Amino acid sequence: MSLQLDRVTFRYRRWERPVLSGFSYEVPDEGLTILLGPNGAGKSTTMSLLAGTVAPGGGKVRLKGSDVTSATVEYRRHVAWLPQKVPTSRQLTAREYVAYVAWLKGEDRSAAWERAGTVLEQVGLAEQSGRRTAKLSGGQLRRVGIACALAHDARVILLDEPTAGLDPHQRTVFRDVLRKVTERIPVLMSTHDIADLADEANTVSLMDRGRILHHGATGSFLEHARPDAAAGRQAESAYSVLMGLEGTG
Amino acid sequence: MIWWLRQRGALGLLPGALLAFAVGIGLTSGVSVVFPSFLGNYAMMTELSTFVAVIPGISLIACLERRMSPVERSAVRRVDARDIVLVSGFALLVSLVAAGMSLAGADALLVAARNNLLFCGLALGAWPLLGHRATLVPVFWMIQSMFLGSRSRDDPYPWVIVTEAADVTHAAVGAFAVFLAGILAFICLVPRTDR
Repeated sequence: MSLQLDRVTFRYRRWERPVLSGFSYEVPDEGLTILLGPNGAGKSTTMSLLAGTVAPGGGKVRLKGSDVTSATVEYRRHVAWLPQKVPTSRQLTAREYVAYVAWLKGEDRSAAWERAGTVLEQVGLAEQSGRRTAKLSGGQLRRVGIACALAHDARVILLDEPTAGLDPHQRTVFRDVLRKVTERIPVLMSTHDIADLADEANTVSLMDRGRILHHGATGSFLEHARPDAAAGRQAESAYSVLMGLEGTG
Repeated sequence: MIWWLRQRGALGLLPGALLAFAVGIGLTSGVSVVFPSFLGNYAMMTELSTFVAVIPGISLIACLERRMSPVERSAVRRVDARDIVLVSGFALLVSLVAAGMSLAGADALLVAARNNLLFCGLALGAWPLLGHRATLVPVFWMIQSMFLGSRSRDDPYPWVIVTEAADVTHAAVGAFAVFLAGILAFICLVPRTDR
């Protein structure tokens, strides 16, 4: 199942310039897609539109090839979203938190509770399931967010800069979890961590100022790197070239 | 639903606030304090229990501030509708408790019941716009009522409501109208969680 933005226009305030104008984008229906771009490129807006947390001013956000739009329950049931800042709770343990999100997405209580236990194991947090989420580290909280996505049969997972602020170890653990998840469910992830993730991704999309500058397989993205780019720096080089920050050499 | 209730504090915060309110008005009923008036040059006698009536309104804001918006805004279930039922039900319950306590004979408790509706209405109406700062609105109303709300000794302006006696009809009607307006603003300004 794939998500599609069809000629979408969006502005945060009526008197402001639109962040996105006539913007079309399609989330690939398998593997990991990373959405790159500088601050203000429109990545988080794109993610929020796809998650259905904001409504477009014009155009459609829908399941590809159908009339099921982001305003419908059917759409929301199948889309999981991990926001940039995962909210914590002093009231709920990690398992209760995951079960609560699954319940919000329409699962009944007992099924949500059972699934919460299973998916916390899958993301390596079984031992933390009794801890309050407010006491978890940033990396553990991101994994709780992934667990929330897995707990309610999401068909697509949207991750908004999930590795921001994580230390190298947490990032490695997170990537391991992500690798397992993307084998089963397509994931769209916005990030700044080009060097880290270009190798993991099947598809790379680059956007700037509300426009897609590149969308294609990771290999085709890396082909834009300068020939003299050092090994391991090709992704950064390709990014700079596509953004017009440096020549093709 | 139990997780939603726990997340909102419906099993701890709100019952605690109700208890604090009931005990507070019970203890301070009949105790008055005098504040200077900045308009009219008359000191204003204010029942101490009037201050206690601010507690439920503030606790409602604390309850709503526990919403996990980024997660709940992409929900399938109507969490916003449950929130409306929870906060309006709690506000009415608090007033009913105070009104019930007033049957023992203290008018101040009836005043507390009325003022609770006023403060809850102000807080709920302000919350979609001000967020956690909405707790200041009932407090501000209380303060300005004491210092600016008196025309002459024991004669508050009609719009003040909080310092009116228990049997003043327009104050009761005004408090209920503000409560309804607050609920209405809440319904209109808080986005539905399922779309």
